[in-house]
Parts: sequence; C-alpha cells; structure tokens
Amino acid sequence: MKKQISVVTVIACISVIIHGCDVQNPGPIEESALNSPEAVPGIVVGMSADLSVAYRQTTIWGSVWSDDMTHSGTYAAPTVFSTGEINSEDVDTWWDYAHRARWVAESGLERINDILGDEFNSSENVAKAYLYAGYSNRILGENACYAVIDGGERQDFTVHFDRAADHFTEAAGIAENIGNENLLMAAYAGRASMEAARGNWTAAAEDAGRVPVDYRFEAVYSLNTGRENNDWPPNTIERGEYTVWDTPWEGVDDPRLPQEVIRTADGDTATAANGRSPWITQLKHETDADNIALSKGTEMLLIRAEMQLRENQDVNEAMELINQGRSYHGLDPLSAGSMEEAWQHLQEERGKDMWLEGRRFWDLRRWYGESGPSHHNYLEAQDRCVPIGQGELNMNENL
Amino acid sequence: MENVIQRYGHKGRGGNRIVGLFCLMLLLLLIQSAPAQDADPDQILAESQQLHPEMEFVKSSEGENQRLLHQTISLDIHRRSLLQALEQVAGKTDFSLSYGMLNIPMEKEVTLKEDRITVNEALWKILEGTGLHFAISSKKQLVIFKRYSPTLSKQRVQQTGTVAGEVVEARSGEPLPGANVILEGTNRGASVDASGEYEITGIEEGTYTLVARFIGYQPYREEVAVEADTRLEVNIELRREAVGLDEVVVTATGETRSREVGTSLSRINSDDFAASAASDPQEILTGRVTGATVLANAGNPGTGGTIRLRGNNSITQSNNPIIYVDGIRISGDDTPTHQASGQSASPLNDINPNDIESIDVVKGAAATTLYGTEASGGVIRITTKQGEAGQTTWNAGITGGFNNMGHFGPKEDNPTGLFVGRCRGEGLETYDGIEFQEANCPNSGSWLQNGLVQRYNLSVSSGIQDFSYYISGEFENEEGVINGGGGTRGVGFRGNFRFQPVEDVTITYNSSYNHDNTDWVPSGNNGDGFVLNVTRGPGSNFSGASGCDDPEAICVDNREILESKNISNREHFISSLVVEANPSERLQNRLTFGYDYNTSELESTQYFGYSRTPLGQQSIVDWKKTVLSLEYLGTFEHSFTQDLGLTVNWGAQIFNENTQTTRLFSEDFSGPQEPTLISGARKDITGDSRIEVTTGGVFGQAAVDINDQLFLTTGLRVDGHSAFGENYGLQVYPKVSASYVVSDYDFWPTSWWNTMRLRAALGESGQAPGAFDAVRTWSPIAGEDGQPGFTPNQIGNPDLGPERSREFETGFMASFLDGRITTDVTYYNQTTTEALIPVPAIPSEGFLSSQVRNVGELTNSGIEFDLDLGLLRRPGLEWDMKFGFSKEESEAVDLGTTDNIEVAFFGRTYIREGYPVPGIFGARITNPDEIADPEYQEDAYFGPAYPDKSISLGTTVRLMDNITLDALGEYKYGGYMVNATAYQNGRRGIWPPCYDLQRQDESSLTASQRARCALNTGEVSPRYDHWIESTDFFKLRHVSLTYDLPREWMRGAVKSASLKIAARNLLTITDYSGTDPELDDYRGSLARRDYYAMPTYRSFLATFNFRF
Repeated sequence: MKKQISVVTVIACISVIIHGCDVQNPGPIEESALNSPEAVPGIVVGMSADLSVAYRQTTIWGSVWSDDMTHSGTYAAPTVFSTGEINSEDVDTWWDYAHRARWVAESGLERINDILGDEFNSSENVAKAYLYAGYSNRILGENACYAVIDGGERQDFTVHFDRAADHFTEAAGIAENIGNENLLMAAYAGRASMEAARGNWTAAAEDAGRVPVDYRFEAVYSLNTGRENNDWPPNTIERGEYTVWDTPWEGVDDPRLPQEVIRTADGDTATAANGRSPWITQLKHETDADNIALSKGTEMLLIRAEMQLRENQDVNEAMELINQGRSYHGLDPLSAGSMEEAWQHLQEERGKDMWLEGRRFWDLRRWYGESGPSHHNYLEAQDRCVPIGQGELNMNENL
Repeated sequence: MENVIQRYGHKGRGGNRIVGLFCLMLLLLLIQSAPAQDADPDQILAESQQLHPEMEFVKSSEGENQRLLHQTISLDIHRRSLLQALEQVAGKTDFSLSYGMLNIPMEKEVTLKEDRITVNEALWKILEGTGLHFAISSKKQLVIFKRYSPTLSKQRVQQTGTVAGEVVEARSGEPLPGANVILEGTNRGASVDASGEYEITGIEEGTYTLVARFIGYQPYREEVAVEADTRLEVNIELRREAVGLDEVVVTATGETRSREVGTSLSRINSDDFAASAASDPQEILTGRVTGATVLANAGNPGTGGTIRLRGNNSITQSNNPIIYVDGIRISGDDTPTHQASGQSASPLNDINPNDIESIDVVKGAAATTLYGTEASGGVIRITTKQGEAGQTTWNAGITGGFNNMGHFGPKEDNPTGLFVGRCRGEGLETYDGIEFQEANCPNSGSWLQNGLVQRYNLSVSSGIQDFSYYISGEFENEEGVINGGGGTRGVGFRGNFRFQPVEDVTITYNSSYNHDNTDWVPSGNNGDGFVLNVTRGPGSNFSGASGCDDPEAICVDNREILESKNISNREHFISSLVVEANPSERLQNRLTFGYDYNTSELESTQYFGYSRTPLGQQSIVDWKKTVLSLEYLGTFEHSFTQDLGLTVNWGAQIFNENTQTTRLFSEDFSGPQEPTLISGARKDITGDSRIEVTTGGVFGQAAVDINDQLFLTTGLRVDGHSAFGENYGLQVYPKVSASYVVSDYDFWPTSWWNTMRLRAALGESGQAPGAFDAVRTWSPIAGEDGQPGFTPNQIGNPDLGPERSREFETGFMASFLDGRITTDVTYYNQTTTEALIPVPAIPSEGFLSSQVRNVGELTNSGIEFDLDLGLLRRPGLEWDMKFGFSKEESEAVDLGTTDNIEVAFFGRTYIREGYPVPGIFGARITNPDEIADPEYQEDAYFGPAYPDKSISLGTTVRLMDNITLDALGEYKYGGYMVNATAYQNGRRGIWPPCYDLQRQDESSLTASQRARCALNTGEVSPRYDHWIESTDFFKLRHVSLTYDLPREWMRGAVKSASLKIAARNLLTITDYSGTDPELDDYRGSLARRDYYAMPTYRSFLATFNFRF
C-alpha cells in the first residue's frame, strides 16, 4: 500500500510540474486565432500596414538609389548607397519588409479563401487584399534584381510583375462584383503600371485611360503609432539625413517639388547630418501622417503619353497628355519639337510627378536599358537593381 | 563543572555527535553522583541561579510551575537513554528542555512505566543516581544541571577565579554568539551569548590554556593565569578560516559543511566586507569572487551593474545568475532601461549590506544542477541576519561623504575634461578654433560637483528561547557628480522573525521593503543626453541659445537637459516564510513560500518650452515583476555505522514569474504645467507586455559519508517549463560529485599542511527559452490610420527545449602553517549543447524574426585560484593578503545553420564559430606606424567583448588590535570595446586628444593617427573600427581605515563603536582612451559599448558604527 501511495505521489508531482507549467500569455496572437471570419478585417489591415512599412522604406532608400535625393546623413546603408553600390549585406531591411508585405498579402489571401469559402469573391476585404498583394509585388519587381518566392529559387524579377498583374485583375473583378469604384480604379491603375512594366503599352494605356486624373490610391500613414508614421519628416525636416541638394530637382520651382533651404541662426545654409552637405529639406511629406501615393491619375496620363511615344511615335498626343497632368497641377504647358524633346519632358515629368514616391529607380532602370531617345544614363555608374538580401542568401537553401 | 546551555533540538552531523558523545561518556566517569532526594529546593534554586545568571529561576513549589510539575502523566519508557527519557517527559508537558550537553550520561538506560505519575516524581526517578538535578526557569525551561556539593561549592567561592570577556569577529568586531571558550585540559568552559560575552567561573588558581572555537574560524589559544577571587578579562578576536573544512555553506539542499561539497563554493561573510563601505551587494561581490565578472556599467547613483559567473553561457537567453534571498527566488533581471540614461537598476542591490549575514556564490552547471532550468548562469544566495536568544543588541551606523568624478575622460591632451570638467574659460573650442560658450555653466566653472552621500542604518536583534527577531531600517541619500542632475534616495526596512511554536517546528518569516527614487543624468545614445551634448561643444543639440557673453562664440545651453525630468520610482518587497519540521533528528522537512514584488516607474519628461520638443513630451514605463516560490525539501540522515552515513534529500519547487511592462507616451502639452500623461494633445501606448513563466521541478540527492572524510553525492533534477515547446517533455539534469578530505588521515603532516580536500563534480543545468519562443504568433498592430491588424511575429518551434550545460569541475582546497596559508584551486570545463541559437528566418517566407532552435554548442573552460596569506602575526600587528586569479576561455563551437551571429553592429560585436562568446571583430590597421593612409585587414578578430582574465589583490593590516587598514584592488583584462564617444566626437573635430593631430598636415601623420583622428572632411574615412580598444584596467575598489574606539571610552549603553574612513574606486589605471573602461550603454544585450555613458566615480566615505 505504501508503495502505491508513493507511486501516486510521484505521478501527482510530475503531473503538477507538467501541467502546472502551462501558462497562457496575453499579447502575441497564436496563429490559429486568425482562422476565423472575425479575423479577416484585421488580416487585411495587417496587409495594408505591412505594405505601408515596405513602401516607406522603398521611397526613402529608393530616393538615394535614384536621383530623387542626395544622401547627407550617417546611417550605414544609405552611406554605401550614396557611392553607387547596392550590396546584399546592406539591403536586408528593404528586402525583408517588401517580402513580408508580399507574403502577408498572398498567404493571407489563401487563408481568407479557406475562411470565407463562397463569400470570397464578393468581399471588399478580398479586393483590398488583392490590391495589397499586387502593389507589394510591384515594389519588388520595380526594384529587385531577382524574384524569390516563399524560399524558392532565384527567378527573373518580372515574375513579380506577372503576379502583380494577376492580383490586380482579381481585385478588379471583385471590385466590379461589389460595385466598389474606388477599389476598381486602384486595380486598373495598378495593372496599368504593371502592363507598362511588362511592355504591354496598349493594355497599360487602356487601363490607365479608365482612371480619372484626380484619382489617388495611397499607402496610409498616421500619427496613431510609430509603426504607422511616414518617416520622411524625421529624416529630412528634423534631421538632414537626405537633402535635395545636388539633385536635378534642387531649386526647381514646381508645386510637385516642395523644398526649403535650412538656415542657421546667421542665415547661412545649414549643414545636413553628415556635417558637410548643404541641408535642403523636402516638404512634400510634411508630417508623419502624410500618405504616399501608390497610384495616381496623373501617373496614368504619363503612362498613356509614354504609350503614344513608344507605340505611335506621336509627340503631339504625348505632349497633350503630359500637359493635361501639368494643367491639373496649375502648371504651364510644355511643348516638344522632337521625339528626343518629348522623351526628355516625359522623363522629367515622371520624376517630378512621382518624386519621393519610390518609383523613380524603376523608371531610370528601365530607361537605362533602352537605346534611342528613351535612354536615360543616370544609372550608368552605379548599381541598377537591388540584389537579393544577405539574409535570404544565407538562409534560403534554394539560392 | 560549568554547564553549557544548549537549546534542545540542536542539530549536527551524526559523526560529530558520536565523537562528542564518546567524549561525554568519558567525562561522565569522573562525575560524582549525589542523591537527588536529599536536595534542598532552595539550595538547588540558588545554585541554578548562580550557574545560569541569564535565566530567571522560580521555585518549583510556586505558581504555574507547581501546577505543571504536579500534573500527572503516563510514561512507558523502556531501555531508553537518559536524554530520550527526559525528552519524553518534556514532550508531555509545557516545559522545554535545556541541558548541559556534557552532563547527560548517555550510557545510562532508563526504564519507567507508570500510568499516572507526577512530572516532579518522574523527573526525580529518571535523574536518580546521575548526580543531576533540575530547575524550572520563569520561561518554563526545564534546566538539567550538575550540582556541586555544598562544601566544594563554598570552597570554590573562596578559592577560585573567573575568566570573562568578549568574543568577536576579528575584522568586523561583531560578536560571535555560539562560539565556545574552554580551558584546555579541564572541563570548564562557556558558550558566548548573543552580545558576544562569556564568563567561566569557579576556576582554581593556576595557569591554563584558554581556547576559543567557532565553526569556520581559526581556533584561538592563549595562556592565562587565574588567581583566586580575581576576575580576569580576556577579549578574543576570532579570524575566519578562508577554506575551513567545517565552515557552513548554503547549498540547494540547505546548510552543510564545506567538506561535504564536491564543487567550489564562494562564500562572503558579513565580516569579509565590513571594511569595504560597500553600499550594495554588487559592490560586495566586486573583486571578491574569483570567476565572477562584476562591471559597474555607468556612474549614476542607483545604476545596476553586469554580473557574470564564469562568463557567458548562453547566446540568446539571460546570462544573469539567479538570485535567492533567504531561500526564495527573487528577480534576477534588472528593471527596464531608463529612456534617458539607457541604464537600469538591479533589484539585487535593494538588499541592505548591513542586513546580510552571508552571500554564497554557486558557479557552473556542476554546482547548480539541483537549481535546474535557468541556473546555468550560476546562483547567488543571500542569507540575511537573524536574531539570537539573549541580550538585545542595537547596531547603528551613520555614513557621510561625497562622490567625486576626478578628471573626466582621458587624461592626455584633455585639459577641459571633455568640457564636462571645465565649461567656462580657456579651451572651449573645436580643433579648428571654433569657440563656444555655455550659457549656464555652473558658478564653479565645471559641470562636476562633489555629490553628498548620507546613509543611516539602525538594527535591533534579540530573542528568547522560542522566538528571535532582527529588525532594521535604512535611509540613503546619494547625490551624483553632475551639478544639477543624478542621485538616488531610498528607504528600506527589514523584519526577520523566527519562532518555535511547538517542539520540532521552527517558523522563519523574513520580509523586507525598499523604496527608492533615482534621478538619472540623460546619457548614452540619446540626442538629449548630457554627456553627448556637453562633449560635442558647439555641436550640441542645444546650441544657438542666448545668454552668452561672447557674441563671437557659439552659445550652447546644456543646462536645459538637466531641467528635464528623468527619474525612476521603485518599490521592492520580499517576503519569505520557511517552516521547518524535524520530527526526529534523522528526518527534516522544510517548506518555503516566497513572494518577490518589484515595481518600477520610469519617467522622462521634457517640459513645455524645451527647445528640442517645444510643446513638451512625457514617456512613462511601468514595470512590475513578481516571483512566487514554493519549495519543499526533505532530508533524511542515517548512520549505518560510526563510519558510514547516508543523507538523502528530496524536494520539489515551483516558480512563477509574472512580468508586466507598459510603455506610455504623451506629447504636445497645452501649457507649462507639471504634466501627466493626460496633459498631452497626443497620447500613445507604445508597448504593453504581460509575460508569465512557470517552472516546476522535482529533485533528489543522495550523499554517502564515509568516515566523515569521503563524501560521494549524486543527484537528479527533473524540470518542466512553460516556455518549452509543446512537443518537448520534461528535462532531466543529473549530477555526481565527490569530496575527499585526505588530510584526515593519520599519516598526513598536519603540523604544517593542515588541511587538504580534493573535489570533483560532473553535473548539468539548463537555460530555458523565452516565453514566446516556442509558439508561432502574430503581433497585434494598427494600420489604415488606427485600424486593428496583424503582422507576423514569432515563427515558433514546437520542438524547443532548454539548452543544457554540462560541466566537469575539479580542484582542491588546502591550508598550511596553522592556516597562515590557504588556497583553493578550481578547473572547470563546461559544454553547452542544444544551445538556443537564433536562426534567422527566410525573409521571403514572411516571418522576419529569428527562430530559436536547439542547434548550437558552446564551450567554456577556465581556472580559478585563490590564495590567502597570513603574512604577519605579531602582538599588535597582523597582516593578511588575499590573491585571486581567474581565466576563462569560451568558444562558440557550433552555431547551427550559421557561423556568424551579429550581436551589435555598431559595437562590432559578433558570435562566430571558433571564437569567444561574444567577440569583437573589425578592421585592423596593418600599417599603424607607417606615414601613409591606413591599410586594413577587414573583419579581424580583436578579442572577447568582456574581460576574460582577472586578478584581485586584497590586504588587511591590523594594528594594536583596534586599527584596521583594508584595501582591495582588481585588474581585469582581456576585453575589448568600441570607444564610440571618441569616434563620434573625433570625426566632428571635438575630441581634444585629437586636436594636435587634426591641426597637423595629414601627410606627416602615421596611418594609425590618420585613422583614429580622421575628420568627416578628411581623406581617411572615420570608422568605429579605429576605436576598438583594449579595456584592460586596474581599479582600487576600496581602501579603508577602521578605528575601533577603546572600550573605556564607551559610555552608557554603548558597548562598542568604530570609525571607518573609506574610499571607493580611488584609482584607475588603464590605457583605454575613453571615459571609463567599465562602461556599457548596451544594456540587455550580450554586447557592450561606450557611447556617451556616464563614467563611474570615486566615493569618499566616513562611517561611524556603534553597538549598544
């Protein structure tokens, strides 16, 4: 009997140890909790939030990769970028954020499909999710040298354009189903940019033509939490990590290029964070709550203008479309007497219209690869795409 | 003979008892029995009162005692020893039994079977023929003693003398209650009472050898000549044995003698640090525990340091030792780092040094096996003081003094002390002559001040037979060394109570409460930091101010920094309840309940009008941590023969830790009021975490004692933990150890080689993963302007378990020449397998956080060497020295899927296979002395991030028995760190040691000079790597002079008093070019860095202690 009691005691003690150690901690959410209809809005907001984080990083670093801004600070990675090098070991932050945004959206769509079943194709949240999946793929395709999907092998970067175009098509279908004009325009605008990127200029112009000039679809930023902030003001207005100095846009009088020379108390031009460069701050993103456009009606005009130059060699029609956009901004019309002049206007207008919106690097990249009047030589002496992040290279056995 | 009163229930090792009782039997052969029935009650009463003046005896025929003595009881005693028979009688009454241990004849067997017998009759019958009598004290103590014959007694009164005095600890002067003083070759002796006094009466004239003994102390011998009718006063100071074989140490299974322990244990007793003026346990540990690294981290009063025992054993988890206070776990984690200072406070430092009886430091997995998961970083056990039965003793201490920085920063080419030492006058300029002025430099012309220090402590301890108490209080007010910022103020109380409600049961309740308020000097990597802005001169973020005299100079106002509010308020409550029930001498049970409660509110407020945030902002961090402990420990001892004993321990523990951290932010106040969080137009909850971790374990240990000479111990611990993965079961940690006292052999030359103990141990312990590491989770976030959403958080790992550290340890301890030389040598070799390694995620799979996996392997080996020397032992002059050396060698053997883990990029700190954990890597200049631009060996290894070798040197000189000079120095070397302050200032042209070089033509400089003093605008690019430096340093941790005031000066109730003058950190010798090689502004990380942290300071203190 004594032996039985001892055994029971030991079992009881071990049971207490095993089960007594079980705790339920609040805060982080176990993954299984996401598999319910109630969680779908949060899943989609998460996609939007992660897209905003990735896009913010793209606009800031992309400004140094391109001619949007000059690096004038002390942070390690942009210091390297300012030399023209874009190395794997320096780009992890961008690579990680962009891929998280893509994976969250694409895997989230699969999860939502399992949750919603038949209601999947009539859900506004699903339409949004497709948009976020499309735009996150666009970010990757426009900047990365290669596509890597879910730990897979190295692929051509245009894979992202294909995926993005498909997502935008799905988004358009659902938006049309539910009669959501705003989402439908976003899908058309997104797909227009992707068709253009794939060289399907007629299809691009067709989608672009459906989008009104005043339309904007934006990555959302907010003062609500630090994670939601637009990070341009602290990097350019509060600290001079980036400056407009020594860019094509320095001192250009254009409402799309708001800027200001920072002065010392003595009235001299202040030096930026590196202690050397003149500090000219951007004022396009004045507060941490300023949204950043993902697609705009004015971009659509420029896509259509580029199509005219590429497909029809129609300078007049192209300039007409360019000037519609300038007119929207209250600017005088431009004129061009040749294809070269028209291409120069188009390239400058795209730079001005989408300044600090993370698109310039792609434009410079694609134009660099062309010959003729569309060729742009800015990237001649520097790296022209973002390599696979070092973290991905280290851990992905398929690379 | 004199009677030595022992409390009933005295515990001891079986071997000792047997030897003691054997001696007792021999002594009893000499005892003349006297017929008990002839006793005259009044005579007995008088004799008992004479023998035990500390007790109050009453006639057995009076009052309550009469009733108790005449109550009837039933007895069934069959062939039991006299002691057992007396115990049985006492057990049936309300009397407690006290007896003179040497007086109980063990050979006498008693048989007494009575259904109804009065207690009085029973006692007389049991004592019949023994020569023993009993008396009853007013406290219902049944005191057994040996009577003198009336005639002999009278003769002794007329012809005998008395030896009396005080027995105190040699260093501290504290009394040593429980010590024994005997006259060798006689049966006369006395036990020292709670106030440290003893008295041996009735000594025949003659010359004797007076011997005083106490466990853990060297025996004291002195020839004394006793004269009739004379009271000879002999005051005795006992000095501690450095490696006493019978010194009691605290282990996971309770108190035991050091000879029984198979691992190295470091014990610091209160008298060891009494001379040091240590203000907290961290300062006590500094330099005193070989193999322990204690770094101060920063120089703000209230800052907690870094403590590592045998280095870093974990890459991802805490390397902090776990802390026990009076048998219960308290939080071993520091509070969150303060927003402004980057520093944190340590709950360990809330223990008042005046309350500490001892600190046991358990290092390495072989020694911490029974502590289980979380113990691989070692264990620190603090035992606080308890009261003793006897006279009430008060201790009071008053400390006054000041903190002083001395020169700020490197001494070479730095006359202004980086503009902190001098903020007015000459030299306030950059390398190229740009002048600046401090608008609000203090009147003294320096930001530095002598920060006043006040400490007051008072304690009282006392007790009666069944109840004792120790109560203390302290108040501390310490100013920092920056004029207008920094300091800490706190109060603390402690109440320790022990009582014995019934026979065999002892209840101990210890409780302490601390409250302190610390003002932090903003520092570290902080744009509003005081050190950053002051040392950057005109580049301060507070330049462009008004109020300066010189219109040509750039005007800065760094005073504004100190006018912001950066404080922390902390409370710490520790409560332990220990119930010990010992139903027999063989079986002991201990049940421990513990509750540790920590709160800390960190506040950083920049008021409305602050130039950097004109509308103001406030940040609050609320942190609360509780640790609940429940432990049962059972002990069974059995002696198979006189030479063979077995001790079995078994037990179970459950620890539950709850940590709650809430971070709140508010900004844009509407006016210049003292704000609260609600004052801001915008508010944010920036963080909120509530983490609960539970550990449960059972353990068992069996120790075989062979001839009290060889001790073989084996044990096992089985643990569960809430952070283990769902697929992971229980964790088992075994251990085995041996301790062999070879000097107990007869052939051993103990005349000069007094003791020699060999030991070896092999054991395992663990370190649990983080609370969420095993679970795949998503984080709640906001998006779309405040809408709730999810983002990937932890990948999770259902197979996750603890990392296991297996350690082999061996060594010896020996003493020579009557304890004048003692040494302790230890070698250890530890391997951590299944080490928790952060395996980076594949980013294209969405989760960005690393996945913690049990895939690594680390090794850590080293030696520890202690040498204590009694250099001089002459009347009026004694000189002791202590020497300690330790060396540790860690290596990351296998990091799983990677061979490189970045710990801190700007600290150039990495973990790489084949190198120490962690190491410093960077670009090394390969042509440092060449007149050329620097050439680099990129990614070169410099050395470990922390010192891996240490030499401590202490000395104590005692003059004329009342003057003590004590000093302790520490040389820590082998570590490297980035002097980021020099890098940041140097490239801006505001690092004075670089001025001369920066003013020269670069073509005349060496590669090293060009690199280290490279300007932003120069040809050579400034790099952190240029400032990777060795942090080797020697610090004189303390030097003190203590004067024990002569006893004849004592007045009234004052029994003793001392005055101590002490200095801490008086001297630093280092080639490190930053402000302090001990700094760390990377708290909570394996890395450390010197980035505008406040350097440590010196303290000059005077302490007046008195006892009454």
